[in-house]
Amino acid sequence: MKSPITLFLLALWWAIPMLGQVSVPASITLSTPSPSCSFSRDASLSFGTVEKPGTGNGSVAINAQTGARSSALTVSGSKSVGQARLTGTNVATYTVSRTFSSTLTKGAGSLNFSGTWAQSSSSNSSYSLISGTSYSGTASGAGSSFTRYFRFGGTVSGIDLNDGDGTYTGTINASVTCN
Amino acid sequence: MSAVLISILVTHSVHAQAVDTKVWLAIKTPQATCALALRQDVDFGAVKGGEQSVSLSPGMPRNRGRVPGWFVVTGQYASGYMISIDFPKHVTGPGAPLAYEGQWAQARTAAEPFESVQGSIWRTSVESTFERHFRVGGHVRGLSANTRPGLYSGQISITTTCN
Repeated sequence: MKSPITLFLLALWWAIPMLGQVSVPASITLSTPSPSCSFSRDASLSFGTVEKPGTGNGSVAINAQTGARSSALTVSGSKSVGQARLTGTNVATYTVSRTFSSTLTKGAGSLNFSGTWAQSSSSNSSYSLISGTSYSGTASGAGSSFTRYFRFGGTVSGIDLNDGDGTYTGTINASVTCN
Repeated sequence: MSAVLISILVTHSVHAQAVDTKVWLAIKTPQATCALALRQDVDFGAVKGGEQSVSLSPGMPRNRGRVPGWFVVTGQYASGYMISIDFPKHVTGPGAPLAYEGQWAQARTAAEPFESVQGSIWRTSVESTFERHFRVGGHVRGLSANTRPGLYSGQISITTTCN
């Protein structure tokens, strides 16, 4: 009758050579789910219509956080704050960069434009002003979706009687990188 | 000798998108307005018998009791102003009509020298706040010792157009 210790040693004696003869390669590829972003424009930035001042010059502004329009000039027509929506899935971080036109133009005529922007997780409230030309944020990562809202406002200044009547336009470009 | 090889490859992808937002502003010139205010009628005063004519220079504010007519045109936001004047050919009174030849002059303010206006229309192109003063005088002719005494009068018509 062999003792348990003896049996264990015998088994070990048998197993060691066996292990020495077996090679077990294993290859694992881990791939995080691909991040996916969708950046879309919900509304253009429209200042409406302003009447030129009789003397001097004036300006009109739309607050990027609230969407409110303000001007000492007579303003009319509908206005809207510019708005874009960023949605994504499997996104850990994202960076939004923007480029504002410095002028609004109509043919050879131009008006000075100074843009502002803000962001929020809610479409209608709690917008925080963004300083600088880019904004970076964190999302909920793999397996989750997120939505972030951006608003664009600004001020058109230097409006005087010498500016021709009509519609002046410009472009705000925003791009996002999700990863 | 045993060997367990495990290799882990972690892949990572980046996704990017861009969007353009249009910016719009319409500007317009306010509705043009203009107004005409009469400040003073033309008054040739009293003329003694024996004079053949009486004159009143529109460039002078007051001359020997004779007072030029005075009106002021004001406006805003118009690209152009046109003031036309229609003088009567005669002034009428108790006797035979007397020939009248109107004259007028303009200045930016009442204190500045008035410049004579030729013809019956004066126009300018401005877009800022506008104010112009006009004075009216002229000549009354055909007076004689036989002219019946009394008040002779006529009506001057002034039209202002701004757009």
